[in-house]
Amino acid sequence: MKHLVCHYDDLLLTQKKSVSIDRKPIVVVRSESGDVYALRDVCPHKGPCLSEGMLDKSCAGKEVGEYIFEPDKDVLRCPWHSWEFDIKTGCSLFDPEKVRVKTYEVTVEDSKVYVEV
Amino acid sequence: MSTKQKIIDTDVHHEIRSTRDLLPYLPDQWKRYIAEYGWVPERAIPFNQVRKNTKYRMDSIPEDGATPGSNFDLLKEQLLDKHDMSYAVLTGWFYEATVAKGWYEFAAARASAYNDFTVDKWLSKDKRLLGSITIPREPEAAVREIDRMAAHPQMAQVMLPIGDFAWGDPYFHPIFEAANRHGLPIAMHLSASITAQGGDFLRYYVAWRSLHPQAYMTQVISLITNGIFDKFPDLKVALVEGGFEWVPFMMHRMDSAYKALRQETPWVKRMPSDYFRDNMRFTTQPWDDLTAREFMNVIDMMGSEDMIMYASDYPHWDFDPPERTMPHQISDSLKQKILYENARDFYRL
Ligand code: FES
Repeated sequence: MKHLVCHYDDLLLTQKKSVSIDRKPIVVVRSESGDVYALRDVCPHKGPCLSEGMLDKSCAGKEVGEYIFEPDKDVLRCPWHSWEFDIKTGCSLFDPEKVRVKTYEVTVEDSKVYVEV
Repeated sequence: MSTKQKIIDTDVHHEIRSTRDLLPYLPDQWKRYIAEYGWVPERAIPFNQVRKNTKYRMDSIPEDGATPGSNFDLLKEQLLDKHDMSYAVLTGWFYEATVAKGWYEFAAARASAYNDFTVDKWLSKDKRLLGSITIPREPEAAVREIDRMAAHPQMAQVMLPIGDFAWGDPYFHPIFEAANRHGLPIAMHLSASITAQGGDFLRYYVAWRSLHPQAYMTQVISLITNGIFDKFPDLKVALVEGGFEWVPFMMHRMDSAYKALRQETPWVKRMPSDYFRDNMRFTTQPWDDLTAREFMNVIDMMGSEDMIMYASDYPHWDFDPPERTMPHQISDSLKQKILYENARDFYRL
């Protein structure tokens, strides 16, 4: 079922917003390119709200000393132990298969953000 | 875990907002170095965390933007009340006064000021808070400071930060003697001046953090081989934030070395592992995501359930909440020891 969670403009300033649908904590985030995603707002490690963390960019590198800034790879970083989760898939960057956060489908219609739960 | 589980947190970093917080507690001679001459502590560590708020939990910044850990009300809310703690041991974050090299007179004044600040702004506000006596490294001044602060009923231990020197050296024994005389345990916690073997920093924060146990190993080896626990058999030492998985490894390694090499340190009367069990305690944080089975193997190899105490490290980024530190398959009785009883006995509460 689709739930209206916020106005698109609400995400312009803060880029992320915690909401609750059927008592499920969910964090809605807006990527740099303007797309909106929704993830469960609980870190699978020790439980704090991911919405208390930060939206950040990933960094890659193959050789020692090589840092490739990845502006298109938005990650949500846990406020406690810094685990990074890809906002599109909910997968952690260190073990994408096993450690991940549930994601929810998002639609934006008439500048309104809906999350499917 | 039952809801009535009692908790003692053995590592809580209360902070000053800036060194200006120390001004009311400094003699005029030293005040001016901070107020007028622009003295700032040396920044030892060449790294930055991979995130905003660097070493702090992102949700621990007070509303006015001050340093995390500097606001009593927020610490009370996020730690003492939220986790219903019986006691929390303030370990501070002012180790620079101890590990600073040279100019010990000023370092001693800063340590004293920090202790007075801790009493005035923290211990007086909540009976659940216990304090650590900050000392300068120079033994005579350190003993004076221990003697000055030990009578405070909430001062629970003497803090010996771990830097790039070993505390077991006989030069430092007067400090252990003073703590022992007052019936206070010692805590050792890493400072920002830990370097790797070879005396330099490794290239990355992740490397620096990973090698902290190396520095703790150096300290326990130094304490035992220098006969600290033969001189002061009742003295207890907590090694805070240095891990514990390596402890059984070192107990066995030192025992085997002692069997062959005892003659070199004949003043060491017992097997090294006995001092680990009887005199030393280690803390849970950072919990390295051990499974229950892995953890029980460590306990089994230690041969004791009494050596580990819970610590949160609030408000630092690698904070472990008491409810989520140990896997739930660990028995309630062992959890009870780690979360409460072992620290209660250590601090004689
Ligand atoms: S609680 Fe989120 S990374 Fe540990």
